[in-house]
Amino acid sequence: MAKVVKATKKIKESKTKSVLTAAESQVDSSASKYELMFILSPMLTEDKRKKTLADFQAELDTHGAKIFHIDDWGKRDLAYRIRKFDEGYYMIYYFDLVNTQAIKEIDRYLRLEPGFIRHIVMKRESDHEIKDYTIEEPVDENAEPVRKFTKVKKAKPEVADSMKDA
Amino acid sequence: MARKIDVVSSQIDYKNLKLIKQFITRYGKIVPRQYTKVSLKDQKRIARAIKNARYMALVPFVR
Repeated sequence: MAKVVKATKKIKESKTKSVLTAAESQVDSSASKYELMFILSPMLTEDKRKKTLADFQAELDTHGAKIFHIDDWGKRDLAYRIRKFDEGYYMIYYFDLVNTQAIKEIDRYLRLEPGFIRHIVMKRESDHEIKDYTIEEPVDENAEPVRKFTKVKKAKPEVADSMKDA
Repeated sequence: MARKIDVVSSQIDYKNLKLIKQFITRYGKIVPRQYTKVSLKDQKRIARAIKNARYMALVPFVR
């Protein structure tokens, strides 16, 4: 008898689990995709940078954001001086967010937190593909160009010759 | 200074610096559509991408 009870319990557990996953997948469908790029101060030491990033990820977690990709561009020269800095540490976060109001909170956090020089938030389409433009694609000479600009030569009217003869 | 530039719509992005640098002059200005010969839709997207890239200090505002 005991065995049977255990079996039913297991079934119940598995059922609740499946329900949960179904609910989660529903949540995912209503979530929006975001891309967040920010520049960190070059003055931060490695440990401090790790701490700021950990704090930032904790902030994302509190809003229920699901990070699915992180790009680390590392230290780069800035195109112009910002707050007397000539270089910055570039990071890009890609995440799903259900509560779209939370983006305001995240934006506020980035503005107030020292260490973040600049940030930009982009809302992306659900079918948006993450591309790494820093890697140069191998040039395939045999591949056809996506858009062709070819001049169409106007064929000389044959009538002109016959007119000359006449 | 006619310069036709081939462009793939899906690759227009503020992070795509290789593409963006083709659309700015050496003074950092956006090249007008009459020179680039891209469609209006793409030109607007490119302009947007350049402005975002400028804000993130990936390309300069002025030189």
